Amino acid sequence: MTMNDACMNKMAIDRLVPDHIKCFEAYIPSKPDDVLMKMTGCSRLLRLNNNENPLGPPPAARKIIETFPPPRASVYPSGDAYHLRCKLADRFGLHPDQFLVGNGANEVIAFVIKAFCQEGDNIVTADKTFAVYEWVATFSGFEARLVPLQDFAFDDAGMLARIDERTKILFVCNPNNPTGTYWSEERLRRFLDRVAGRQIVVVDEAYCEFVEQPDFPDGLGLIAEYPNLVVFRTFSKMYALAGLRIGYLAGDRDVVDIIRRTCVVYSVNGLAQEAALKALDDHEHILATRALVRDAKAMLTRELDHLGLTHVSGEGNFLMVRLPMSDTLAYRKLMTHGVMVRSMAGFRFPNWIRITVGLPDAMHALVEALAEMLHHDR
Amino acid sequence: MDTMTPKKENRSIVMNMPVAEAFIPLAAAFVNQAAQGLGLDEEGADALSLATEEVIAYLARMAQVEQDVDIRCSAGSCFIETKISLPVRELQLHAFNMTATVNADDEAGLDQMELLIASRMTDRFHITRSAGQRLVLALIKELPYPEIKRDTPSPTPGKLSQYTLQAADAAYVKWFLRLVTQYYPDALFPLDFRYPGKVVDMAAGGDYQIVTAKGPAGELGGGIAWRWEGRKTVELFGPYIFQEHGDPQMARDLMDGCIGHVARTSALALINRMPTPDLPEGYLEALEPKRNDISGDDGSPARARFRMMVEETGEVVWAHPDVVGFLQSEYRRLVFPRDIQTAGSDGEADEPFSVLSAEIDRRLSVATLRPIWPGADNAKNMAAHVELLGREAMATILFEMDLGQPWQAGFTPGLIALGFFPRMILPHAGSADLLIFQLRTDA
Repeated sequence: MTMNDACMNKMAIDRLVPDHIKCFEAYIPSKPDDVLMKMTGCSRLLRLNNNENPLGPPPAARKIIETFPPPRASVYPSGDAYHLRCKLADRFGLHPDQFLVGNGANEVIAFVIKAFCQEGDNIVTADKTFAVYEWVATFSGFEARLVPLQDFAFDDAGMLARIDERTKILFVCNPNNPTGTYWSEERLRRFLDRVAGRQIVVVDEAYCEFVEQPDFPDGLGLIAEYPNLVVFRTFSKMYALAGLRIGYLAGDRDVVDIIRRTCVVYSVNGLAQEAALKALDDHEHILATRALVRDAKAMLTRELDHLGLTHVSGEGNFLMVRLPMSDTLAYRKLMTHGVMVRSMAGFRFPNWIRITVGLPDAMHALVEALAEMLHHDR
Repeated sequence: MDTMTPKKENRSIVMNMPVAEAFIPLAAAFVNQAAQGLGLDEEGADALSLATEEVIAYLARMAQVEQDVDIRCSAGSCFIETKISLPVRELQLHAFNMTATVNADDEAGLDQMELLIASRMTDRFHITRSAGQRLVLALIKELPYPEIKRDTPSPTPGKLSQYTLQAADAAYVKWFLRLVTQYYPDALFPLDFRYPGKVVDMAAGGDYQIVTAKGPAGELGGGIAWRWEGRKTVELFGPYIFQEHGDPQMARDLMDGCIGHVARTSALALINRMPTPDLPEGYLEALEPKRNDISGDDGSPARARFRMMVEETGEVVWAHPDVVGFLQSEYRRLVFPRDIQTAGSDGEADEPFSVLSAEIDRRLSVATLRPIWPGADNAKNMAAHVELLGREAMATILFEMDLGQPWQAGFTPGLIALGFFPRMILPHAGSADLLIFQLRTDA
C-alpha cells in the first residue's frame, strides 16, 4: 500500500464514524496497581477509590474461587446464568425469567438503553451521579438530560419536568453514588405513580445491601405493582466480586423479555456465576460489612471534623469530603502517600473527593495523609 | 444551568485538483468565490485568494512528480479558513519550512519565501503534519468586527442576593462583555472580548461558552467564559464579578458551573492564563514556576493557573539532559508522577534537513514553532526561523516540544543556544506533556 492509499483509507474510515462517536472520548481507566506504585514511588497502595469491600468475598464464595477446577475454564458457562437466575428468583420471590445477569451492572445499563431507545430519544437522570447512564446514552447517540441534585439528592420534580414524548428511561441511583442520599419507599412510589408507566424507571440499587434505614425501599418488591420498574443490583460492592464482573437486573417478565433481545449471552463467566450463587446465602457477611462500615464512618467523620473538613456521609460504604484545594491535586498528593481516593471533578463535584470506608489501618493512613497534605498546603 | 451550545461543524467547500501551474487561476478563483460565499468580504477574499495562489504556485514549482491537492474552504464562527492538504514524501518535507525558497541558491532573500508571503496576507497561518502523512497548510482570515465602544459606561450592578447560572444569549453576551471590559484591565480578558459581535458569533458556533449569574429580574451579577484549545484542553477566562467588593460565593458557583460543564468531556486540563482577583482559592494550581531565577526574565510573578480534570496516573516522558533538571523540579512542584527518560543524539545518522511548523498570529504578535521532522540542520534551521520571525516583528516566539516524542528532544541544545528557556509544562497537551520554551526578549 502506498502512502497515498493509506491516507485515502484513513479518510474513508473517518467518514464511517458517526458524529456522536467523534464527539465522545473513551474512558481511560486507572493503570494497574503495580504500575501506579512504580510511577508514584510508593511501596503500598490503599485502594479507597472504587467502593470495594475490604473484607473480600463471603467465605462460601471464596471457597468456590479457591477450588475452581482449571479444566472448567475450557467449557462455556451457562449462557444466561441459569442457576443464578433460579436462585435469585427463589430468594426474592420472582420468576427466573424476571432476571437478566450481566458482566457487571454496567453491561445491563447498556442492555436497557439499547432495548428502548432509538434515534431522537432521550433519557433523564441526575447531573451528579454514577456516570455510566449518561455515558452509554451519549455514545449510543441519545440525549442524556441531566437534572441538578437538590440538597445532594435526586430531584424527583425536576426529573418529571424534563420528560417529553421522546423520553424513554429515567435512571435513579438509590442510594446515590457519590452522595449517599436515597429516596424513601414513599418518595419512590410517588415518583412511579407520577410517571404512570409512560417511561421505564430504572432504580440502580448497587449499594442497597449497605442501607439499614427502615424506610429504604426494596425495589424488587415493587416490580409487581410497577411493571415499568427495572431494578439493577451488583455483586461488586457488598459481595466483593468486583474482579469477576457480575451484576443483574430484574423487572416485569414482559419488560425483561424485551431487554433480553439486546443482551449478549455468554458474557458472564462460570466462576462469577458460581461465586455469586454462593455469596447470596451469606447474611453474616452483610452484617459484618455493615458493622465495619458503621464503625469506620464514625471514626472517619470524627477525624474529618477534627481536620475542619466538610463531609457528606449518607448510605453506602463511602463518603464525600470537601477540600480546600483541587480534588485532582489532592488525588496526586495522596497517591504519594500510597492512598488512592476518587477525585470528584468527573462527578461534577470539584474540590471534593470520595473515600471508600474500610479497614481501620487504611482509615488511619488516610487521615494521616490528609492531615499532612493540609498542613503543607497552609 | 441551561444547556450549552455544542460546537458546530464548520460549513466547507472542497476541491481536488492537480498541482500544476495551469491550475493556479482555478485554485485562486475557487478560494475567492468560496470565501465570499461563506461570508468574507471582497477585500478579505482577495487576500485569501492571493495567499492560496502563492502557496499553489510554490507547490507547483517544487513538485517533482504529479500529485493532487485538496483545497478546503471552511467558515468558522468568526473566520474563513483555507486548508491546502497534500500527501508528502519525507524527502520533500524540508521545503515546507517557512524559511525555504524554491531555489536554495537564490540570494534574493525574504522576498522569495512564498510561504512567508502567503502568511503576510492572512491573520493566522500554520503548517501541520496530520496523521496519514499529509501536510496541511492553513490560511485563516478573520471576519471584520467593530470594536466595543467604551465611551458610555454601564452602571454598576448592585449586589445580588439571589441568582441562577445561565448560558448567555446574544444580548447577555454583549452586556457581559461591556461590563468585563469596563471593570477589568485589558490583561485580564482575551482580545476577542473587545469585539462583541465576534464573541456572539463564536458563542453561537460553540467556540465560546459563556455562563452568567442572573438575578431574578434579569440583572447581571457576574460571569465566566471558556473555550476549547484542541481536544484535551479548555481555556477559562474569569470569573468576573461585577460588584465593588466581589462575591466569593458567586465566584465559586461560576467555577463549579464551568468545571461541571467540562467534566465528562474529552478535556484533561483546564487552563487560566488570565486569572482575575475573583478566582476563588483552591480551584486552580500555579502552572508556571517562579521565574526570578532565570536571568533575562522580567521577574513577574507566576500567573497562569490550571487544574487537571482527571486523575493523573503517570507516564514516561522524553527529554534532553539539558532540561531534565527543570522538568524534575517542575514535576515535583506539580506533583506529577513522571518517568523522565533522556533522549538526544548519540551520533546516529540523521536526516539532513529538519522541518519546523510555524504558527503566526499577527494580531497578538505571537509565533509558535513546532518540530515536524528532525534533521542534522535543526540548530541552523531554528536560527533561520527565529531571524525571520524577528524581522516579522513577532514580540513573542515560543517553541512547543512534545515530551511524548523522543526525537523532539534533539532540538533542545539548539534552542538553548539561541536564547530560549523552558518556561512551563502544559500537562497532556500533546501526545504527552508539552514543554513550552520561550525566546528571551534580550536574546
